[in-house]
Amino acid sequence: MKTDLLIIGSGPAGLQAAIHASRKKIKVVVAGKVGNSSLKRAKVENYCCGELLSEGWELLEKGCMQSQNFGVIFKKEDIVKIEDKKNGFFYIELESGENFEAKAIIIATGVTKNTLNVKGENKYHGKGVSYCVECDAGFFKNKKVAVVGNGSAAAMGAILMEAYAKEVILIYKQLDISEKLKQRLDASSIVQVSSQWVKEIKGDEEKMTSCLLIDDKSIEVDGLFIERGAKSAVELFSALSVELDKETYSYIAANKKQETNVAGIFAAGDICGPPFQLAKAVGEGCVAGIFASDYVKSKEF
Amino acid sequence: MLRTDLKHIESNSELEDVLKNNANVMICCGRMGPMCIPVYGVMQDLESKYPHVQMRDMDFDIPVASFIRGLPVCASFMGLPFTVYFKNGKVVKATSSIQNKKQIIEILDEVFKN
Repeated sequence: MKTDLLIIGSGPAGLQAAIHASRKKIKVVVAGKVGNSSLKRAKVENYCCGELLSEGWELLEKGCMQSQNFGVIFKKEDIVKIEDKKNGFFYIELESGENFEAKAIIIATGVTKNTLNVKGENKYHGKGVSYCVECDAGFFKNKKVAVVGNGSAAAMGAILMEAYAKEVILIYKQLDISEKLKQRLDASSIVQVSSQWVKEIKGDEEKMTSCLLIDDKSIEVDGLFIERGAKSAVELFSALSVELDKETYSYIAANKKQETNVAGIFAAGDICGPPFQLAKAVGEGCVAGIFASDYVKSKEF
Repeated sequence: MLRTDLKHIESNSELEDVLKNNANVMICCGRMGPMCIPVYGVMQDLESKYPHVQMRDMDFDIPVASFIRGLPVCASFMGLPFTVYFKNGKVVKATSSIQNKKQIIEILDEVFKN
């Protein structure tokens, strides 16, 4: 399906961008799970007129409804792949396999801490513990590995690891993935350990050797991939050479129009760095929505 | 070739040259992935602040990278990039996978004191 603008993330930045872009009469698709926004479980504070909507979930719900009234299409799925088609379109694939071609993209994913913050994690980082299946899968050929996480990144990571490892274990509390992805997982040889989580990573002087789960059972593995939530924006966009901020190299660098260094790609909200405030996210979303729609309209496709 | 603004090492002669003619050398051996790009970025940022350290990148998949991959200190590494610090041609520190700016500065200050 072709669209003018695809917004990745349905938090406050993504919703505000969707509202402003759709008001400019362009086709807008928003991809992402509203429940992943940190605002969902937060109280609205320090936000102009925030007293009218004190609950974060309420604000998100109203924002979705408002956007839908302007014609915005919502896809409650994570993005698993993005490519520059080099013909003026970006190719975007969702976790269910559905795909889009968009003239412009706004990255409004927010930021997710991908660490587990458990004992042994830092010690074995790079020595069995990894945060990127695509980067490090090759080090685990014919080995036994575990992937921990509840979202599409963990499920997709486990499926990818199947091609490398002799045994793959997926550890999760509760999966939050599309039905199609769940079917792929169930049809694979991946061992699923549900209602569990990793509480400690153990090993010897050189490398990790096992994971201790919350029920105190130990699983012997050569590696553990920590893949919480969706694929990070930095992970998704590194192949497109989107530049990161020069201070921490953790966030997407954007100018005052919320443009990144790549034409047609904009960014807004927490992914652009601190302060992590609702007001900033909404403001940047507004700017990104306006300039992304201007970009779409200015180009002859 | 890696798409960075760092100087690259692409041949054995370039590797020998940089290790032989410089007391302090940092080599980051990786690909253009999300764990590697932030490390290259930090190195680019720190190059001017650490003029006494020669900073280079190296593509993990080219023949000369077998030197880094084969170092005993990297034997247990299972995460890209492999970053190795050399003092007078000898390995003094090595890390596997992503490191942030603070971690890299700590290592540089520790192993390459002026």
